Amino acid sequence: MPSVMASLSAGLIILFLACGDAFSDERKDYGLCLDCHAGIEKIGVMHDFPCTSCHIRAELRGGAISSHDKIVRNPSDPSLVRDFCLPCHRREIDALERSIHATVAGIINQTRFLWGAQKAVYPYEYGLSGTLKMLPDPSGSAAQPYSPERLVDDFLRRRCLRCHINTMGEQAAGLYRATGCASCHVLYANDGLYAGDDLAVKKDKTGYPITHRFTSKIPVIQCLHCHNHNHVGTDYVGLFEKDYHKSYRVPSAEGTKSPLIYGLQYHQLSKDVHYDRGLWCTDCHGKEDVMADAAKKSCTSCHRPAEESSGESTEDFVTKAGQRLRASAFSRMSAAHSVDSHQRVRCSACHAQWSFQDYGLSVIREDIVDAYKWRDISIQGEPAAQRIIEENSENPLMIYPVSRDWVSGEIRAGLWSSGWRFRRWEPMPIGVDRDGKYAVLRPMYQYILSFVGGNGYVILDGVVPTRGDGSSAGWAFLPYTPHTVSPFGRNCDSCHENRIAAGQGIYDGEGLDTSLTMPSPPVNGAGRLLDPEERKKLMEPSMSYLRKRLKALAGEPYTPVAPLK
Amino acid sequence: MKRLITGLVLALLGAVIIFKEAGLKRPAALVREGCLSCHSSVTDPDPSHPIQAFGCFRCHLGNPYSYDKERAHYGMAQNPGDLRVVEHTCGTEACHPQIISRVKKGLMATNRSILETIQANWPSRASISYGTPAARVADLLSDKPPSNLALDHYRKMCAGCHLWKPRKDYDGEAGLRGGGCSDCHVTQQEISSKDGFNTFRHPEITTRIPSENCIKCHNRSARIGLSYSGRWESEGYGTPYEGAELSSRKLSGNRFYLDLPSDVHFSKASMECVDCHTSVGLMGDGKEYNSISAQVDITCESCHMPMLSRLEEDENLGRRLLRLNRRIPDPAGGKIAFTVKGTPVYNLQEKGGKLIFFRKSDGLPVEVPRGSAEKPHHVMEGHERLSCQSCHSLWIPQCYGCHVSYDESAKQTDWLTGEKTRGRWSEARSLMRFSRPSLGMRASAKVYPVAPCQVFFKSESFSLLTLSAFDPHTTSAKSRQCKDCHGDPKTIGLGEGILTRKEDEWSFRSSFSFNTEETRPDFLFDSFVTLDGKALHGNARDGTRPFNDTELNRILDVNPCLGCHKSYRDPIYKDFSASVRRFREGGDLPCLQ
Repeated sequence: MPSVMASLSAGLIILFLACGDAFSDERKDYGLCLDCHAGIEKIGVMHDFPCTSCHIRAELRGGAISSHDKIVRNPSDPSLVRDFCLPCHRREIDALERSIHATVAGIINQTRFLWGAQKAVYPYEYGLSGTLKMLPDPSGSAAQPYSPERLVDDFLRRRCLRCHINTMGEQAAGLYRATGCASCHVLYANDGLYAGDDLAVKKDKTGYPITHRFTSKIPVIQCLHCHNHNHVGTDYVGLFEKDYHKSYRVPSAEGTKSPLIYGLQYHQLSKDVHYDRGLWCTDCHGKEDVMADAAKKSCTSCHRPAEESSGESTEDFVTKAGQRLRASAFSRMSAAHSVDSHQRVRCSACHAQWSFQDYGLSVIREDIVDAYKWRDISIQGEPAAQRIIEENSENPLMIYPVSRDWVSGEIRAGLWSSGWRFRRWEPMPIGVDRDGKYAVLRPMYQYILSFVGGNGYVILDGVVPTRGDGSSAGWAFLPYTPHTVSPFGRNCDSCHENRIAAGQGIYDGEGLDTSLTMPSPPVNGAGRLLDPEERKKLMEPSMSYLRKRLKALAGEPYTPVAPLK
Repeated sequence: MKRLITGLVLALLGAVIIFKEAGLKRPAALVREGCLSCHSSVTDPDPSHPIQAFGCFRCHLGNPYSYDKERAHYGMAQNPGDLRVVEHTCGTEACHPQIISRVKKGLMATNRSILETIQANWPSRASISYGTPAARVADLLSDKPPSNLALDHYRKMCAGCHLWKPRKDYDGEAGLRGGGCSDCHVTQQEISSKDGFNTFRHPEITTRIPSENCIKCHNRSARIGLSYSGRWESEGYGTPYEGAELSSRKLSGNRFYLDLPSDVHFSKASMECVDCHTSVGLMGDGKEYNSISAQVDITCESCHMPMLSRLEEDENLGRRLLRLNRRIPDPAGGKIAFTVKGTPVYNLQEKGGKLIFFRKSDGLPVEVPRGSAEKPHHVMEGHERLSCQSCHSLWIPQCYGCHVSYDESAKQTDWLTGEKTRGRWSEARSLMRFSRPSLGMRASAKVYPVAPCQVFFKSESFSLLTLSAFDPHTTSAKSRQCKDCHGDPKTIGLGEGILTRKEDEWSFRSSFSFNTEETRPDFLFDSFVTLDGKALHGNARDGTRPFNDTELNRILDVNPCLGCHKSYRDPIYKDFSASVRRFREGGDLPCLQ
């Protein structure tokens, strides 16, 4: 226990240090920034203001600044943004505060619904900003949480919401970032080190942006500071989380210990073709999409059917990185594209090379823990939790761990740990999304919950939560768009007459772990599983399908690669 | 005075001697061995070795003429099955002399297959000085053992599972392994001796060997002991949690397992390992083999397409095994099966035209479905080289990327000596899978399920990429479908990814990218071969290899037809080349309409 407190207070000190050297000197005017910060970059042509306009509150401007503490480190932080940025950016800020990037309403309402804490996902009820109700803070409640619906807010706050632009998240490789506008518009390197010319900033101290610049040219690496783990984002660059167990900590090619990124090591899978061509996330996900949940692009926004462009070339476009590219046209006449029923299939359902299939998520909150049992699985993609486990895993005594609420910043008793049954990228079950189109499904998630109270009593022992509307277990598969696009689609057999695609799981057999590969329905409003009719159509091919298949594989006329005998 | 003292001392001495002698427990009646004066009540290890007839000395040695514990136990063999003493115990002329010479040449005692494999590629690659190779475990136990880097790896990472290893030298599962004959033939029941000083429950000897005796060793590497009962060593999450603990589905070494479909022989009939595996396959036939496939003599056909023959009165081995088993009925002039090496499979008998299999553990009869050589799917032209396993194995444990590090400065326990010596090995893995098996060509020129062995030796920067062909023991009555082989890139060795036809050419895009940081710049974990037939894995000692370009093309040529022509009986397969010609020439074929 003392060591936990020590480590946490050490962490807090580091955090404070990272937030600017706290010092003050009565004789000095800290408003004369460039006396110390000689060489610092100009923030950008659009913000050509004196330092104090952005870093000193209006009421303090004009006089001498007696302490460095009075200096605002990040004027775009949600707590300050209305004082500093609002006069120029009212429209953006208003929209952003209501957007999913600020409210995180998707994760919140979906998880609360699956754990039985609310009756429906839509319309969103809770969020972290905007007009939604604030996610309840469990710390005020005196009652011991004894059911999933009373644990969900704590789980969300301590395990999920570290990626949230209103507050800082973890400070570790890949995860360094700012808050508010700066969380996207000020670029951080994965090592969190400053690479500019400001003489006052140490070059070996983590937690700094690359340079003191504000930009709208946002590269992939910046988005990945939050969109990591097995979520859309990492898939675009071909990353898939490795397993937690220490036997998967592969040393580098030179035999040295390989570093963790985003709290874990990653598999290098096939990248999205758009990434290979040099496209950034922001080339497709523009301002209105990212900051206002509007004007989303689709594949056909860029890729037009060759037949419609009637010989004229599609227009060139310049990427955010400054490359001139031309989107390839596709043929409506190809075997796959010409199928009538395929008009309702998402491009990604065929063009995805792989997907996130994380089966069976066991989560446990322990208010008293024998850290020894976690010794081999301390690395769970959560650097803070990892530190607590590793500092205590050789300790024969039970400890009372504490961990951070990422939303309020508060430290509370208890530590969340998690593990999977197995994680795969190969299976791609098919379902129907909210627009009625066929899309790849991913489990999100198959929760099994446990809770050990401070006195050591097991209050929840491997409980499967029930959805808030009581309809079924709180396990869901959701349709999504894997960002693992291949220039050519998967073959017919990857869906047709394919039991995994049809939602029948990898193997027959009740009670086996592999039955987790059988999808459970998405939450209401997010789509549905295939109905029996659709499943039958997929599994019992029609004559017209078989002709198409032959055409796709054999062309006309068919030429075998090697003549036989 | 002096005399008095001497007298007193002598008298005292006499009294002590008389008292001690009187105190010694002596048998009431005459017995042959002194052992039984203390161990007066010992249960029989089994009906073939009754203590009344055998006594103790014959097996356990020591000094049977002494009534003193120290002297009586001098030179005693607590475990007569230990290969170091077995010539004087189990293997004496009157008992089992041939068997112990076979066992000592068998793979479980020599580990020859492991030793040859591990030493095959290292000498030319490793810069650390390479000494003389060893052929068998016994070489390493000699006074001047051969020594090289690969052997150091063997000693520290592999040498915990062989018959020379003494029993009970470690806690847990490791302590159950080893012990010569006893390794397999002594059941693992708790020795509940001490109810009263004299009662001793003798460990039970049996030929009805319970599978737990096999699985205590056969749960790593190919992991067939686990797969057979539907257990797969998981990625180690220990989920779902039970109370405040991790899952109780535990294996030794803080490993965990998941439940997968089990082998049909297990799910249908709860067959034990020895129900199939014969004495010759397990203990050897007197020849020293260097691969498991050469020593094992049971095959699927031994039971499902058996060579049946009458068990003659003078057929020694079959009769003896039957008598030892005591659960299986005598075929009484009926026919039994024999393996390819001629070992009697006495528990498979023909009765009234039916094939009846009897479980060795309890004699329960089970009717065996007769494999039909004449069924079209078993005689199809082009499928001559398929092993049963290639279609009937549902899954295979696969371990991708074995990253071996060697730290010269640290120490690690040598399993053979029990001492910590210089140099520590550690292994990390990239990923594990249980998915459908890839297929390749086994040395015997049979199509077989294969699993990769991908060693990346970090300290020496070399890698060894081989394929290992083995029966995964995940037999399914229902076979895999045609398309599982004739169109699935994973199965034919290309790896997971997209296999499609583009501009009349097959095209493949792997789900992996190159990862120079972790492996090497030209390596994708599950790509054993490229589409044009370039082998990326190979040089296995037994010649197991991925398919070559001719084979790949022939496999894929069938793919377009498989949408409609799914049946083995389909006439287009009678002469497939002719069918392809007809198709190419077009005409009035229904598929071209």
